Amino acid sequence: MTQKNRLSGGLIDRKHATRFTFDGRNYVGYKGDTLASALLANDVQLMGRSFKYHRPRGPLTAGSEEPNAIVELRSGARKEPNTRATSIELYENLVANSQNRWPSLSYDMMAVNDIFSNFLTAGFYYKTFMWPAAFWEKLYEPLIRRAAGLGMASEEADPDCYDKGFLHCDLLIIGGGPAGLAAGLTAGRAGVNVIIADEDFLIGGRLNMESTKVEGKIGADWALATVDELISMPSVTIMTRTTVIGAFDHGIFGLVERVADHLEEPLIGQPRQRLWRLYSKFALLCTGATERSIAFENNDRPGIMLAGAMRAYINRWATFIGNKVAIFANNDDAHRTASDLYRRGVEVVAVIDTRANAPTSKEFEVFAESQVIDTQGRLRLKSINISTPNGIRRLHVNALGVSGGWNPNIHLTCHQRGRPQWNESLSAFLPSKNLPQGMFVAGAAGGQMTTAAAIKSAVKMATLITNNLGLKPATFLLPKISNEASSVEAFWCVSGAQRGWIDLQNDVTVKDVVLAHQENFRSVEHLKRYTTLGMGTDQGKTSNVLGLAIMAKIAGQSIPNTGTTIYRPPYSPTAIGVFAGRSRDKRFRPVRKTPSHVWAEEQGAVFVEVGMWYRAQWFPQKGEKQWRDSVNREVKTTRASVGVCDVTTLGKIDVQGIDAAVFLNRIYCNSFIKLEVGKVRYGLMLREDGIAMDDGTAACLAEDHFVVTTTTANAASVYRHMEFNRQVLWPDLDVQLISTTEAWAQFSVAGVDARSLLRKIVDPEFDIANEAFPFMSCGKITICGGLRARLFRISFSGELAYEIAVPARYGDAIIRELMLAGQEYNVCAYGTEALGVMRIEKGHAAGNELNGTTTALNLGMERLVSNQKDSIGAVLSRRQGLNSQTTLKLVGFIPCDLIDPVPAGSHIMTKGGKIDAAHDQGYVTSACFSPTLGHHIGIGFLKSGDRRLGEVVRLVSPLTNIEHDVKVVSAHFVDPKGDKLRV
Amino acid sequence: MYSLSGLSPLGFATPQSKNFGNFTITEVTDRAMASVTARKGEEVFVQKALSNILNQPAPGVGCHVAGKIGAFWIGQNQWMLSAPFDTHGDIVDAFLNKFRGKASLTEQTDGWCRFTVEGVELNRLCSLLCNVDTRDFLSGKAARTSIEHIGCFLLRLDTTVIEVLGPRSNAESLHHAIAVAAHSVAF
Repeated sequence: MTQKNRLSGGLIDRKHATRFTFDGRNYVGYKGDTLASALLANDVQLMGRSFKYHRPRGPLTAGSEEPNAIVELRSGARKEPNTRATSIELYENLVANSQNRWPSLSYDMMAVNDIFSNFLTAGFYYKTFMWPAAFWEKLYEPLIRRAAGLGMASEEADPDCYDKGFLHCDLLIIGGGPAGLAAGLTAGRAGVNVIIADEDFLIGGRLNMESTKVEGKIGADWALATVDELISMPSVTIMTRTTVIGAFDHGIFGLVERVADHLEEPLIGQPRQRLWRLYSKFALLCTGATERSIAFENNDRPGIMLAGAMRAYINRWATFIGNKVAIFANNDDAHRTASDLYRRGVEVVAVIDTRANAPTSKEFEVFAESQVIDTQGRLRLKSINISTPNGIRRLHVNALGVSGGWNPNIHLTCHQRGRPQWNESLSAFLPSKNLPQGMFVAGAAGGQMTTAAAIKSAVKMATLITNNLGLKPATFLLPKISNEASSVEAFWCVSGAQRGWIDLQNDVTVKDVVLAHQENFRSVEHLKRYTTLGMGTDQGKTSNVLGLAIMAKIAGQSIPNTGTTIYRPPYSPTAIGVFAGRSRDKRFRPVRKTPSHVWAEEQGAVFVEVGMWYRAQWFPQKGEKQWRDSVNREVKTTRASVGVCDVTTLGKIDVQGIDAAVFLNRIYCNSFIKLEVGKVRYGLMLREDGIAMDDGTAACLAEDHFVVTTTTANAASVYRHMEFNRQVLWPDLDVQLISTTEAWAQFSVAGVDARSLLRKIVDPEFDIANEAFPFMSCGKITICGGLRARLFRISFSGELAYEIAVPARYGDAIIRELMLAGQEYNVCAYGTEALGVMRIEKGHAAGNELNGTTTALNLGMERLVSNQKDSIGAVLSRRQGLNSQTTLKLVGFIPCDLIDPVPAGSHIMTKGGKIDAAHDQGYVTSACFSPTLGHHIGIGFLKSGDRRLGEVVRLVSPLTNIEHDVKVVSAHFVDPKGDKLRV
Repeated sequence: MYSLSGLSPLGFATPQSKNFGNFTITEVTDRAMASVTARKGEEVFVQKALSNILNQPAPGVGCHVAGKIGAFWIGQNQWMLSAPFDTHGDIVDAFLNKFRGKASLTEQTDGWCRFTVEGVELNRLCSLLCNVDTRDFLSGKAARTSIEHIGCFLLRLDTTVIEVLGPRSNAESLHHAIAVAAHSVAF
C-alpha cells in the first residue's frame, strides 16, 4: 500500500510498518499512528455515516472528542462498536469496520433518510408515531430500533479481564500537554508526590501537534526532554493511555488506564483496562481546549475538518486530508494551520476569515470579512462557495479546515455541579469559581490560549500548590516560546444556513434549533432533549457550545442568559467491564463457606446461596429422584432418630462487660436481667418503630459474658444495630461487643437420639442428662478427649436438640465424628430445606415472618414485650394502629382437600366473599409439604387469626390460577405443647 | 488429648503455600488470636498490661507489634493479641489473668484466615488490592481495609512481606483476589 498522503517527518515510527484492515481492505500505517491518521495517509477520508440521515462522514477531529469517525473495532467477542478512529492506537493486524450503513459505507441504502430529512426533523418521534396506539410496541418501536443506533454489539461474553486499583498522591495533574508538563516539573522538582495522567499514548498534548518552538526547539522535542526529566524524579509518576473520567467528592478521581487496548489482544493474564480510584490532596486541570466548528450549509462533508486537527495530522502524523485546502475561521489560530500546511507543501487555496481585520499572508490568499456559504461533493469534498465583500465565488478544494474558536476542556470542573462562567473575550465558557475541593486549573482549560501563557499559568498554580503542601517551590525559568497569535471574534453561524450541522454525530442542524425555538423548547436542557444535541458518544464536546450560541442568537439574548452547559462523568465512553473489574462470573462477589463445606461437597450436597454463604440445601442419596425425596427423608430421619445440620452461618456476637445484662435487657423487648449463668433465653429484637427486627437467643456463659445468636441474614445488621446503641445511646454502659460468627463451627444435633449421639463424643465428666442439662441450658464442655466446645440445648426443629460449637478449624472433623458415631442411630445430615420444613411444622417464625412489616403482636409474641422495663421499640410497638382488634395474627393453614398445595405468597379471602385487595384477609408467608403430616401446610398472617381457628377460608393466587379452601389451624403443627423439647 | 485434626481455612490438612506471579502466598495457621478490649475506666491499666505482655508499648492507631507475642490495634482501646497456637491454643485462658478482669477477651483464632504475602513489588500489589496509601504503609503499620468487598486487616511486616487477615469463611475468595492481583502486578 502506498500511503499516498504521507509526508516526511512526524512523530511516527517508520521502522515499524503496521498492517491493518478497514472494511475488509488491507492498509499499512506506522507505529504511532491512530486508525484515523493511518487511513488519511492511505487517502481514505470516508470513515462513517451519520446517525439519522446516514450522511457520509470523515474525521472532524484528531482526538477523543470525535463525533464522526466512529467504527466497530476488532471482531468476534472482542468487537467494540462506537470506537473513535481518531484515538485508536494503530497495532499490527488491527481490524475495523464502518458501522450504521447497509450494504456498504460508500453505498448506504439508508441514506434515503437524507432525502426525507424534512420529515425527520427534531421531535419527529414525538409527533409521528402517535396512533394507532397498539402499533407502538409491535411496529413502530422495533422499526425505529432497527433503523437507529450506531454499531452492533457482539452479543458474546467479553473474553477480556479487567482490573481495578487505588492510587494516592499529593497532586494529580490531569493532562500532559505544555501546562501539565510544566506543572509537573515545578512540583516534581520541589519533591511533591505527583501523578500526571494523559489520555494519549504519547504525552505532550498540543506540543506534539504544533510547529511552535519552545526554547528554540520543536515543541515535541521539548516535551520529550521534559518527560525524561520527570521520569527521573522518584516522586513523579506519568500515566499515559489513562483518562481521568470523573472528579468525585473528597479529592477522589476515577482513572481508566488502557493497559492492552494497543495490542491485538491482551497477553495471558493481562487486564485489558484498569480502573483506578485515585485520592489526591490537590488536582491541577491541564486538559487544554477543544476546537469548535461554524455552522454553514453542508458543513459536514468528508474532507471538512477542524483546522486544529488538520494541523495535528500534518505535524504529528505527517499526513493530510486533502492536497487543495481552504481554511474557514474567525480567529488567528486557524491561520497557523494554513501556514503549517503551506510549509509542508500542501496547496492552501485560501483562508476565509469572518473578521474585517483578518491578518494577511504572503503564503496564501486571505479573504477577510468572508464566509463559506455552501459546499459540494458527496463522498468527499469537491468545492466550496464563499461569500466575500466582492461577491460569491466557488473554490475547488478537497479539504476545508474550520475553526470557530476553542472551548476550554472544563468537564471535570462540572462533575460536582460547578457551573461554568461565560467569557466574552474568549467567546467560551471558563471553569466555575466553585471548583471541586483541591482543584486548580491551568493552561488552555483556564482560558490561557497560547503555549507561553499556558506554561506560565501552570507554573504559577504548581507553585501555589507546592506552597500549600508545605514544600519549597523550585525555581522554574519560563521557556522562550515563539509567538502565537490567538485573537478571536465570536462567529457561530453563517446567516441563512439551514442544514448547517451543529452536532454531527446526532445530526442536529441549525434548522432543528430554529424548530426547537419555535416550539418553545428554548432552555438549554429542553433544547438538548428535544433535538438530542450532545447526547451521542462524544457527549457534544464539539457541539454543545455552538448549539447554545445559535439558540441564543435566535432568541435574541446573551449566551449566559440562554443557559449553561455542564458535564457529567464519565469524560469519555467507558467500557462497562472496567467498572466491574475483577468481579465477574462466579467471582462476581466473594463467597463464604461453612466449616463443613468440604465434607458436604464429598456427600454431593446441593448448595444454596444465603447472602454470601454457600449452605447445604439437601443431601441427595441414591434412588432419590427429586429434591423433595431427599428433604422428606432428612425430616423423617431427624424426627425418628437424629439429624445433624451445620448452623455456623447464624450470627454470633460476643457480649461482655459489667453491664452486659443491662444492655441485652434494653436491646431485646423481653427481659434478660435475671438470666442465670448456664441458661439460654429466646429473645425478640424490635426496631425503633416497634416492628420486629430479628430474633435469636442469648446464652449466659458468665455474669458478664453472653453469646447472642442472630439469624443468618441479619447477622451484620443486628451487630451494627447493637454497636450503634452501645456507642451512641448508652455510652455510659460497660459493654464490649465483637463478632465471633466465624470463630466457631456450630452444628445442630436434633432428634430423639440427639442426646445418645452426643454422649458418644462429649467427655464423660460432663453430664448432659435432662436433669443436669435441661432445655435452654448452655455450658462450656470438652469433647473427643479434650477439645474445647460449647453446648447449647436449644431447638429450632421442635425435637430434643442441641447445638454444639467447636473452634472452626475442627468443624470438618466434628461433622465426620458425629456422622460416624451416629451410624448406630441411623443419623442423617440435613440441609436448609429440611431445616425450613421442620421449623414450619413447629410454627417457628423466620425471615418470611420477620419481614419488616410485622410486630410482636402479629407473631403472637405480644407477651414478650415487657411492660416492666424500657427497651428499643417497646413504646412505639404500643401504637394504636399496631394494636387493633383485627390485626394480623400468625396461624397455620391446611388444605381442606389434602392434595391441594398451600403456596407461599397466596392471599386469604373469606369463603363466599369478594376476591380483591379491599377484602384481603391475610397471606401465607411460609409453606411446605410436611412429611410428618403427609400433606401441604403453611403458616401466615390472618386478620384476627387467633380467634378464627377452625374457620374455612379461601386461599387464592390469581397469578397462578389457584383458588381453593384451607382451614385455619394453630401454627404449631407438631408437638404444640413442646413436650419433645424437654425430654 | 483429643484426636481431631483441624483444617486450614482453605480446606486443607496443612497450610498452603504457592507462588502467584512474583509473589508467594502462604496460609498461616499456627497463630492463636484473641481480641482484648478495655472495660470502661480501665483503659490505662489494660494498655499497660498489654505492654507488659508484649515487652514493648501497645501498638497505637494503625500500628502492630510483631513477635512471638504480637498485637495490632483494631479499635478504640481494642487490640488483637496473637501468640503461637501450639502453646496458646486456649489463648483467652492463657492471658485472662494478666488483665485481672479489667478487659474483655474473646477468642478469635479461627475467626480469621491469615496469609503472608511476600514479594518485591508489594506496594504495587497493595494498590491493586485495597485502598491503603502505600506511601505511608511501612513496616510496623496495620490497616483496616476492604479487599473485593471483604473486610480485612493488613499488617506490614517488612518491605517485602505483609500479612492479610480476613474472615475465615471468605478464605477462598480472599486468596483468589490476592492471587489474581499478584498476577496483574506484572502489567
